[in-house]
Amino acid sequence: MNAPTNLPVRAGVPASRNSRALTPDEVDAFGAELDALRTEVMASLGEREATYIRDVQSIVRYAEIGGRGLLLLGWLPPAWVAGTGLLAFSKIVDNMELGHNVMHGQYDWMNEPSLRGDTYEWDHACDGDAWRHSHNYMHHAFTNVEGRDRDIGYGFLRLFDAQPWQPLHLVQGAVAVGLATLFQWGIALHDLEMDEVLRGRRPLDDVVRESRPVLKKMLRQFAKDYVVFPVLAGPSFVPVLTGNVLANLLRNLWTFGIIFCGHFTAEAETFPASALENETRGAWYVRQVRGSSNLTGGPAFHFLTGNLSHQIEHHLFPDVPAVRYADMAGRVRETCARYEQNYNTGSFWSQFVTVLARIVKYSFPTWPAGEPAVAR
Amino acid sequence: MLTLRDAALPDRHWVDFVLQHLDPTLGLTRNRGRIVAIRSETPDTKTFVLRPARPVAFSPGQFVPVRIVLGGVVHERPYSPTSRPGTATLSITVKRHPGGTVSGWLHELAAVGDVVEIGEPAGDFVLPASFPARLLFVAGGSGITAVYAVLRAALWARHEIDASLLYYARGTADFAFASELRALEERHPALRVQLLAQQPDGGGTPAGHISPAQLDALVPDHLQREVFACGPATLLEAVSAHWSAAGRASRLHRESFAPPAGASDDAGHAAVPVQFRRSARTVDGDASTLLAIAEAAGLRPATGCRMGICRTCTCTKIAGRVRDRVTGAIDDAPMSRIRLCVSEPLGPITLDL
Repeated sequence: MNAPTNLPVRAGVPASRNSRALTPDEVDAFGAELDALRTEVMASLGEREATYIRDVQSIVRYAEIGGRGLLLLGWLPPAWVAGTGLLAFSKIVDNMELGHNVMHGQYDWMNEPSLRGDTYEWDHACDGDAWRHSHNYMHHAFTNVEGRDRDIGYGFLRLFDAQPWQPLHLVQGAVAVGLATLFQWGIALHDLEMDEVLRGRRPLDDVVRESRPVLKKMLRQFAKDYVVFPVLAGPSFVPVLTGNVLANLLRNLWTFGIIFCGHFTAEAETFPASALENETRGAWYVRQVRGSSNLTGGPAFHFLTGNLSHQIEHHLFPDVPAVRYADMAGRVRETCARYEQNYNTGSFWSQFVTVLARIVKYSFPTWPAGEPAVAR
Repeated sequence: MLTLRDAALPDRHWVDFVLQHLDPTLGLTRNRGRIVAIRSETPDTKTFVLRPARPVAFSPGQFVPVRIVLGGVVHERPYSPTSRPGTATLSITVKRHPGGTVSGWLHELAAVGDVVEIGEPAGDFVLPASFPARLLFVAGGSGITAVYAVLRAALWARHEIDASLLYYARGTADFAFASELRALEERHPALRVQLLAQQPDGGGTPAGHISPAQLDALVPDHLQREVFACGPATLLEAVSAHWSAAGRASRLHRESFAPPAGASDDAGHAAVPVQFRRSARTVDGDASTLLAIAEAAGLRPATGCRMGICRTCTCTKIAGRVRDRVTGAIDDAPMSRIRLCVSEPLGPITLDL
């Protein structure tokens, strides 16, 4: 094809603390290897993945029916515990393995209307369209790019040197606990970018205009879990309400933990906005690897994280069904090793401790000198 | 305003999940039907009688999308119902296409009692509001289904209507509804049915393809008639050319179940960047449809008919200028919903895909 204009200037990628520099040819070759892996897996999708995701959808729904049903008998402590657990399980799987992955369009090829990425709605306070913008676009396209990826600290937390320190950051440990507790509401409001209004970089009118669907979904979710189901339960109002509160809390804490381990571990890198200039497909892949971190664990753990434990693979291949990331991880890791790129992985607790350490460290003023060299 | 309805109404897919456990044809989001009868029309054509959970409000000549799940993937094809609207059952007549996924399943595996999904009817191949005095129907092969539907609707409306049918098929045995058409001819004196076999059995003379000379011979007043034509592309092209040359294109109604023709020769899409935002990919698009460009880039968006009918591949165009290959309409509005299979880029495009 004759494309005389806007061909990216081929550039290499500089070294970082744990990864060596790559020449332009190496960046291209790295990208080509990952593209080949992606093509291979996309061509192999079929009945196995389709049956799997339909089963996941059924599990979420049966667990929700079972959980809400048991909570009706919630005056009996075992029923309350089991009901709350099942409901939390349903919400976790609905948010991660089902909702998050379906909303990436991973199962669009099935042509199944209830599993379409651009219309899916989940059991979560965040409106689907707002999520598709803030997560699928802002976060995935600009992963860990300072000033562009708004998931860096979610506008509340300071996690990297490039973010200017403010006295309020001294209490960000407490803010992080609050965010984890109310994570679904934080995510729901995330796309409105209200922190940008406070900084004077976004007109308030924009927020007001975009807030309608967001508030509508938040109200719906609040009414469902904290009004409609408790009231429908009649005499079981109190156990249903407390069960729903706890199920949402468990889901919030779990998703917060998994998501923060994906990009804010000690070795996850951030990038200056200049990294986006003329970025080639290969360089985009390199940035995804360096900015993401994996979690090790058994099949049940991977399932409960929505396979986001394979965060590196997810960021390389956001539209490949997540159930295939485990298969792909070996090849990705081997490719990274050959190009001497750090493949950041560890157990949940070992990674989570580094996230906590980071939240504490950046409560205090830090200077870029202490930070690893990043692509500039 | 935020209402209690918004807050408390359950998700429709969720309700359907529960209903499916009671009866597989039940559902709020979609209409499903059981196959209640199957009969052979020709060696490679069968009629399937469906009983939908909800009546399908179609006009004769329109098509309904029929969807089945094979290997986990929903497959969809448009078929023209030949049954009378307003009845409890819906009949579709399906020709077996070599290697055809949906027609293959229907012919080889479908049995009475199986359930298929039935979509919303669409299409403008219907009788006009002002009823024409004289009609001509031209059908080629499986195009008879839509033509048969319109023909019968015309006869229900006016018993004595002056109508002529030219029905082209390969062999003598390949005419679907042959006995029904003969019976109609007997009941309606002003109806004339001509079955035109290209390779008649027993060494008869081939009827030959449609041509102006043949039309003059078979239906001398054909240019004075309102025309309904459905069949293969070659037949439709010949019909269109003839009626256009005679300045009567406005009297021609045509239906085609084939993908739209290739790219228009507008400049500007030699190599335009197409950005798939959700997949975080940008590729150079060429002069093909956005669906083809997406698939060449390794994406697998939802698709249905691939000819601009079913809207399964509809997606949000965040920005950019596209042309609809079917209608020729140009759309440069931001955040508009477009059908990928018939949209070609006229400049840089950003899609929510």
